[in-house]
Amino acid sequence: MLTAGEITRLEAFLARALSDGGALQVKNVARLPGGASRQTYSFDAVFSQNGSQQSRGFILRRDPPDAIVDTDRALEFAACKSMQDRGVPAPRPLALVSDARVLGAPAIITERIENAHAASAFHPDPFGPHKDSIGRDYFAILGRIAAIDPYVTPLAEVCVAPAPHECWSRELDHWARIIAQDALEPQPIAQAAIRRLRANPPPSPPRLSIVHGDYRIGNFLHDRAGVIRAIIDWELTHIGDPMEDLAWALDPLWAQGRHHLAAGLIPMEDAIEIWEDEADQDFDAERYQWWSIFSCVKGIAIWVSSARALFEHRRSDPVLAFSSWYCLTRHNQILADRLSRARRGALA
Amino acid sequence: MKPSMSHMLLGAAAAITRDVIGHVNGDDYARETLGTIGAMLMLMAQEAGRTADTLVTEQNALRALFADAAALPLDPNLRARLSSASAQMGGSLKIEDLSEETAQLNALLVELHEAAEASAYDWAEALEARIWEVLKLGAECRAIYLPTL
Repeated sequence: MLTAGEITRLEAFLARALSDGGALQVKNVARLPGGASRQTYSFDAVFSQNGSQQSRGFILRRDPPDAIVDTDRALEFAACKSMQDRGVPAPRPLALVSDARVLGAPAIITERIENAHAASAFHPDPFGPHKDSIGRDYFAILGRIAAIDPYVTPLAEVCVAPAPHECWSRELDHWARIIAQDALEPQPIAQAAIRRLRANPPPSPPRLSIVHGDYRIGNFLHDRAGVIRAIIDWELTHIGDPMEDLAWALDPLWAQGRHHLAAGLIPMEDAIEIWEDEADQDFDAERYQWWSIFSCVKGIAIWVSSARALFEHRRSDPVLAFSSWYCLTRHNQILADRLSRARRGALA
Repeated sequence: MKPSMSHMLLGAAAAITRDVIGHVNGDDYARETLGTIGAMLMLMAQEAGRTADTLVTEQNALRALFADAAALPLDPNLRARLSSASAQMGGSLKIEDLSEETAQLNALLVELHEAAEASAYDWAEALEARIWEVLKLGAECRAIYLPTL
């Protein structure tokens, strides 16, 4: 939880940003579930603005003492900012708190989106009768992210865009390095997949896009009536090949047993058609195939990092225990199944 | 006969997810965390009775593969290590010891796999196919089912 001292410093920080000089009070602080990469809190700020008393809801996302995936708050802040007024529902960023003395660790503050709920990974049917509607929204929004010209957004100021032919190697090098650093034991399946991916580079994307980097069920908030209210967890956002995001979103791990449906929501062909319409570009099967195998490698990198954090007693969040066990096992299974059926040296 | 570890873990999971969680009102973080702990206990219940068997099955498959691979025209140093690893018999049945042994065998498997991939000969292609069978067996042995709450 936030300490009394941290709340006092938060009040002072927000008073400078929001209030006309008067005091600001932080109330109803509550920790929220989800997002092992950041500690997430909801709170209300009561303050005076333009002579009237106001109460507004905010979300604070603070780095944990030891982040699993080392990411930059400025990047997450810029990513949220880049989505505003572009047809992509995302939290409206209010402040970037880079000075760790304010809250004990760097943090970002965004406006709270009301009537917005995350889906539980353990619910057998998290969207009930709204599954189809959520699915259509889900792939339309992903297409809209891919349609944005990244170079005219705030993200371009904090994020180095790779050359189109380097998208794949930059991502693969990064996640392969994480596996090499963090795996507690050899990962023969992931290591074979990395070699296979290097030997079969994908074609370059015709244009680069904003890539959310962790677009999946669980990283959006919905209104329980079939509408997605916000895409969240933008800390892995980068500029790259939009097929990367599509492949991650379609990874069987997120389908919760409904593998015949895209992300367990709608038929695959519908998902791709919706995405193409919104992204204003064609689905590329060859690039997709490469990125779908890459997705398993990236997943394994995240899960072995979770395992190391637990093993070294740096973190105790049970979500990390779950992902380092279930998700790691499942991604190894998916990769072994795919690559054992592929032609020698090929991806399929 | 006393209840098995799996029974105990499932009982604890049921207590948390069907009872305790219902008493936590208005704190989404606590509820979700308890749900995840319940799910973890269910995963552990799936694993508890079979871990040693999974590791020994995998080690047997790896040692059989190494014994056959040691007869192939590979680098002599690699062949010697394959031969040595295939002849080793596991001692301790403690999970930690078995896991450590499996890790050592898997490190050698990675080397063998790289050697097989680097060769264009028919025997290398057959060896690679065999390696994938062993990898797939290991992945399937460890399969666990996502609990629903």
